[in-house]
Amino acid sequence: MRMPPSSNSRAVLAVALGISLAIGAAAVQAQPAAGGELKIGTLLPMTGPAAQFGPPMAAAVELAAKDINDAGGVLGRKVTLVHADEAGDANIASQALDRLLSQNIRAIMGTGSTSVTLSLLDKVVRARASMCSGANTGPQLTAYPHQGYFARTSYSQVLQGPVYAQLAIEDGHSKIAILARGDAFGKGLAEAIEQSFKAAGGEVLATIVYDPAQTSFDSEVQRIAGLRPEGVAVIGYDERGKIFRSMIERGLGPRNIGLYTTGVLGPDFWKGVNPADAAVLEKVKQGGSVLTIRGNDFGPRLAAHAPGLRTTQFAPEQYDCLVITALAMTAAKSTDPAVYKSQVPLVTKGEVECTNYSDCVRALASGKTIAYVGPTGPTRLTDKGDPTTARFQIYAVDAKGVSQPVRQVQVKAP
Amino acid sequence: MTFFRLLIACFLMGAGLLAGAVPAHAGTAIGGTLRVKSADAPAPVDGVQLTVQSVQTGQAFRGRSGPDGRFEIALPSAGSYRITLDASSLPSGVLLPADRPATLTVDVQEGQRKLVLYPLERAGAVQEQQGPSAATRVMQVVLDGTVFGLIVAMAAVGLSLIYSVSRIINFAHGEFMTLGALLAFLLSSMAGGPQWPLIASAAVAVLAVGALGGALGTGLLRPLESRAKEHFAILVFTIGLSFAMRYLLLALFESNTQPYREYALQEPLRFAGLAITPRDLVVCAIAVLALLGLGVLLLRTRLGRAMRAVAGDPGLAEATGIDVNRIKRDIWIVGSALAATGGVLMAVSHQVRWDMGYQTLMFVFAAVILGGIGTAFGTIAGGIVLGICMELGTLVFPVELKTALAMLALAAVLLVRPQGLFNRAQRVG
Repeated sequence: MRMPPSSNSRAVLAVALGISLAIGAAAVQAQPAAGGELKIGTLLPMTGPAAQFGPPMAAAVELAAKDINDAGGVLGRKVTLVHADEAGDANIASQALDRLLSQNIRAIMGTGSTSVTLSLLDKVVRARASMCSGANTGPQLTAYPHQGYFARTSYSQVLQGPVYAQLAIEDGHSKIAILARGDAFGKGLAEAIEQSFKAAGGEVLATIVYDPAQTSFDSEVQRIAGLRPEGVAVIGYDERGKIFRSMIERGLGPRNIGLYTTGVLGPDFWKGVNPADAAVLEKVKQGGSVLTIRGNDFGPRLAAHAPGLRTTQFAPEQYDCLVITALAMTAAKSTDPAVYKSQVPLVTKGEVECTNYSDCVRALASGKTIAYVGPTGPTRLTDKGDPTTARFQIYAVDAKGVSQPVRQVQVKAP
Repeated sequence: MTFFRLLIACFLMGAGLLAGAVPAHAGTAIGGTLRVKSADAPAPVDGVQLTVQSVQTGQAFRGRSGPDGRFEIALPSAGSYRITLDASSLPSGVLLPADRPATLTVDVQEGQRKLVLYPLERAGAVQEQQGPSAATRVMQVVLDGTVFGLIVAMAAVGLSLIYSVSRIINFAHGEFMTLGALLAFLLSSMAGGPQWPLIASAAVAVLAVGALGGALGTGLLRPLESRAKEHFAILVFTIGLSFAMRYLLLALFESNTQPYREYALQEPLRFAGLAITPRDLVVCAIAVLALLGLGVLLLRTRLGRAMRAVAGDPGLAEATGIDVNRIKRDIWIVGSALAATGGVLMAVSHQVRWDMGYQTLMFVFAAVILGGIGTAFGTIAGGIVLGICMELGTLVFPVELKTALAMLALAAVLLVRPQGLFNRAQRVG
C-alpha cells in the first residue's frame, strides 16, 4: 500500500503542516487574555449513563455565574461559560478537556463522575488548570496527588456510607446485601456502607459488584434473593430501573424488604420499572443533595432559572464550586490556578461567615478572611480539597412515584 | 462517682420507659432497639444492660433497654466509643448468636443518635429456613440460562446464515437487534406513539429490519464485495456501520432503559420451586416456534434448498440455474429479520436500550463459534449451551465473573474442538 510521492500528496502534507502550525500558533498566542471576560469551562455529563445529573449541574453553574456577574464579576471581569460534555466516558471527556484548555480556560467545573475525573487529573495538573466537582464522591480522589488543583464540594463516600448504614439499622434490618456498580463510585460507596454497617453490629450477607453495561442483572439479583436479606442497598445510575424490576419479580421489592439507593430518583423513574404502576417504588429510600437550609432560597431560584429540571441532585454542590473558585480568585487577586489554588480551601474556613458571593467579596475587600457557606452548607474544605462537613437529605418515594424529602442528616469527617 | 452513675442509670431507665412517647435526647447518644427474632413479628427485649466506654477518655456510661426494646445512652461529646451488651442480663432463653460480637466500636458524631444492632435469637431456635435446595437452584439457573440462550441463538443463527452464503461477518448485526427492539418500542410503548399491541409492532419492526438487511446486503455490500478484493475491507465497513448505527440510535432515542408497556413487571409463575415470569415463557415459546419455522424453511422448501446449495458452492449452484444474487438477498433478509426478532425478545425479557444489541454481540459471536461457524442448527445449540453454562457458573463462582468464565470456557472448547461443538450436525455452509 505504498503511495508514490506525487504533487497531490505533497499538497496534502503542506496543508496538514499549515494546520498544525496554525494550531500551535493559536496555543502559543493564547496567553493570559487581558480584559473584559473570564472564561470558565464546564465539563459535565450531558449524555451517557449519568446524563440525568448534567442539566441540573450546568444550570447551577449558570446561576452561579449570573450571581457573580450581578455582583460585579471576578476582579472586575465578567464570567462567561464554555460548556463541554464529558459523556461519562474517559476518551470523550479527554477530548472535551483539550478543547477547553485550547481556549485558554483554566478553571473547570466538573466532572460528573469520580472515574472520569481521575482519568483527567494528570492532564489538568500538567496544564496547571483547576477543577472543582460538585458530584464526585469517590474516596480515591482524596489520596490522588493533584497538588491542590482539584477540589470538590460533594462529600466523599467515606462520609456517605454511614448514613445508609444507619438508615437500614433504623428500619430494623440486621442483614443486608449490597449491589454496586463496578466503578470507582459504586465500589467505594459499597465498601463504606459495608464497613459502617458491620461496625454497628449488622451483617452484610454479600456485596455484589456488577458490570453496568450488561443486558441483564438477573443472575446478580438471583444470587442476592437466595441469601434472603432484610434490606438491599443498590448503588448505581440509570441501570437501577432494570435491577429494581428484577428484584421486585424475585420478591425483593420495597413492599417486602428495605430498599436503599444513592442519588434521588427522578419523578418518572418508576416508568422504567413498571409503566402501569406509579407506586411500584413506594418506600424506596435515597440520600441526596440538600436544597434549602437556613432559609436559603437556592431551590426556588434554581427552578426559576431553569424550569423543568428532572432532578436537582448535585446542583447546590456545583453552584458552590463556582462561587468558591471565584472567591479564591478574588482572595488571591489572580485568575491563575497556580496562584489561587491555595485560597480554595481557605475561603471556606476563615473568620467571617458569609452566605453569598457579594457579601463574601465585601468581607474580603475589608481585609478579613471568610468562611463561605453556600446552599450546600458549611464545607470547610481540607487542604486536599475535600469537604469536612456533609449534609444529606433523605428522601422516600411516595405512592405517586415522587421522591419526597424526609429529613436532613449532617455528618462531619472524623 | 458511683452516686453519679446511679443517677444517670436511674435517669436512663426512666428515659427508657418513656422512650416510646418522648422523643429521645436531642444530644449525642448511642441508641438502638433490642428485638428477638420470632416466627411472626420480632419481640422487644426488656431490661438488658449495656455499657458504653469512651475510647479516648475511658469514661463509662450505662444504659438499659426499655419495655419496647429501645435503649439510648447519652454521651458528653463526639468521639469513638465501645459499646458492650451484657449477655448475663439477657432474659433466659434469649441469646446473642455466637458469631455476633457483644462489643462494637463506633464513631459518634456531634449531635448524632448513633444506632447499633444486636440481632438476638431465641435459644435453640431452629435456623431460619434456608434458601431453595441445590437441585432447585440448578434447575432455576438452567431455566434462566435457556431463556437467554434462546434469545442469543435467534440472533446468532441469523449471523451464521449470512456468513454461510456471503462469507461476511456482519458486525452491525447487534445494531439490527437494537433497531428491531427500538422500532417495536416506538410503535407499541412510546408516549405519543401509535400504541399498537406489541405483537403487531414487533411484526412491523422485524419486516422493516429484514428489508433494511436485504437492502444492505444487495445495495452496499455486494458492490463493495466486487470492488474490494480483501474481505478485511468489508469487515471494517461493517464495524464502522455498527458504530454509526449505534450512535445514531443514541442520538435519536434517549439513553434511558425502557420497558415495553405490555410486558413490564410481572408476578412470576411458580411450579416445583422454580419461578419464571409469563413474559419469559412467551419469549421461549416464540423463539422455539421461530427456530422451528427456520428449520422447516431450510429443510423443506425450495428456497431453503436453494439457500443451502448457494452456501455449499455458489458456482455450482449458479450452474444449476439458481439466481445466486437473489438467494443472497433473501438470506440477508431472513438473517436480519432473525436479528430483529432476537432484539425484540431480548427487550421483552430485559428492556430496551440503545446499546443492547452491541452488548449482546459478543455472546452472539460466541454462540456462532461454539456451535461451529456456518452451521445453522449447531449455532442454535451453541446459543443455548452458552446461556446455560453462563448461568451455571454463577452457582459456584462469583457472579461478577460470569462473562469472563463464559469466554474462558469458549476458548477452552475451541482449543479442543476448533471446528465448534456441533460441526457434525446438519451443515448449511
